[in-house]
Amino acid sequence: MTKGCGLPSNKPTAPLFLLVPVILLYSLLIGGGLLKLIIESSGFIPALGLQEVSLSHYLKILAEPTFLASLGYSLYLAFVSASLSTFLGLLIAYKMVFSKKDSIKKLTRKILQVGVVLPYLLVVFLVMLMLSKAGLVSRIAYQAGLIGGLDQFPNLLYDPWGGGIILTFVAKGTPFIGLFAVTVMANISDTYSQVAKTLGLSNFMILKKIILPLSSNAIVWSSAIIFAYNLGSFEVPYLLGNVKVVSLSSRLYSLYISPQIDTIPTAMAMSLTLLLVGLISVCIYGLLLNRLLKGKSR
Amino acid sequence: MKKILPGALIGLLIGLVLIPLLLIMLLSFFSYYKYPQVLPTAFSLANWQQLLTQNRLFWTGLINSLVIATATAIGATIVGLMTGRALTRYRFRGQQLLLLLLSLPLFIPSIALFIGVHLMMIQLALINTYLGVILAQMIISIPYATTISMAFFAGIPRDIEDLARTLGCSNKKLFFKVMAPLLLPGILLSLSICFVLSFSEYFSVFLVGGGRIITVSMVMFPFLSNSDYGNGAAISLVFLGVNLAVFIGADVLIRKKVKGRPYLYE
Repeated sequence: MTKGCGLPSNKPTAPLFLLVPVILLYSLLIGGGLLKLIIESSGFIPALGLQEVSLSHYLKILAEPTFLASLGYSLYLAFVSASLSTFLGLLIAYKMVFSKKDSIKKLTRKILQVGVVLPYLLVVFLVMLMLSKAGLVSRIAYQAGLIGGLDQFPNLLYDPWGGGIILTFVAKGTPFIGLFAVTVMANISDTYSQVAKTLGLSNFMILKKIILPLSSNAIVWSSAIIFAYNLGSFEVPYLLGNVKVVSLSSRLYSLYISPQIDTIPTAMAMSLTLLLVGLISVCIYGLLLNRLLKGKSR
Repeated sequence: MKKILPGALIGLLIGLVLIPLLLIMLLSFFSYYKYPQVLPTAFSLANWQQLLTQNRLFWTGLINSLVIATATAIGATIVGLMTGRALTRYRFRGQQLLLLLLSLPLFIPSIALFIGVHLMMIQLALINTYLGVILAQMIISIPYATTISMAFFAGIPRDIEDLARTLGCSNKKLFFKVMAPLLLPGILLSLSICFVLSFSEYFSVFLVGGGRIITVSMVMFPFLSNSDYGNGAAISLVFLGVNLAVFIGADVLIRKKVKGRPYLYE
């Protein structure tokens, strides 16, 4: 986020040794992994006696309706929950930045920080406790006479729309984006709001015309991270998902650990497809959000 | 747009965070929770006793998690400091590209990223080892560690460094006597964030550790898939307790000892 603000050195090259660890780690594990994915997805795994190089594994998964359904489902989950998290995160940040009370600002920040340090697994557990058929909400509804038993409570967790999954992602994404947004928005607000207020702009207009466009980089960065995380998350859709529509991560995992040798290239092709679709959709998501925040949508 | 009371929003937030946490606490100490009752009854230490004394995996998992998260935090922070220093102080070819590539692990769907990493780990014989798990975790932590260290390096005026050098300060002294104290809040922040990230992680440890390296997440997972609320509640509190202790501990250290601005998680 922060670009090099220090004065540039006269020396044209950085001491390479400072960059050795990061370059080594990234190129070996990420770059090497990517290379292996490309090679093995083409069907070339001599150690397993597979030598035929072709694109057939890609064609096979792309022709499979269940793969496309899973991909669509995963993209849907990531998009809906990242958008909701961004909206809520910005709403909280907006309320905080324009709040007069320091105590409220401090308290909100503390709550957001707790939200950030909660592990995903713990949030999955909380969502189960609250919203399952025998969860707290169902119990309260029963006591209030709204439902006659746990069978009448709607199936919020394992429904095909992924209510529980989205709720978990939103619960984790909102504080992350909210904290980023609060920090950049507070800095901008200090500088410009007084001027804007004297010119008679309302808080909402200050947000729309000044704060959001100027803080868009940080918001897009944090929101895109959440989008990508949701897209690749394994445990959340696995624990809270429906059996009929399987997320791509669950499908990919079961294929990857399958003991059958001939499914390996398919699993590699699926990984690489998810990686590429992921990167492309993160870019599209980021660009759209950036346009929206800068108010250039029309 | 009508003014929404900020109080109502705060109340909602508190409710959403505190009520479920309170329920977890009660569930870990009370054993009877039949359907229509809203709160559990029958006080009992059975859940805690089972987790702390009968579950053989719990202590292994906790110690493994602590060791792995500490090592990841230290490793990622050191790499982050080195990378941050290079990116803020020097100009070199490919700098913008490196800056872009640094955050790449955060923008790749993690399951695809870690399947690739897993393949390399098999090649390097790092699968099922602590080192492999720690390196895999560092990949996710380094982008955050570097961003933090860049922000802190950028905040140290070049003049301070030049002055120290003019006075005959060696490289080693420059770092430990001049830079380190100024960077300390950033180092603590980076350590705590990377620790929490690693301690909370499930999938990458599960994949690279091959089920041999058990962490708290892995002990907790079956409680969730089997809806074992009592044990799940107890281990949740341990999980949350460690994360909060690290988070609050770092925050206090930054505020009190360093007298810096409260940078934590801002």
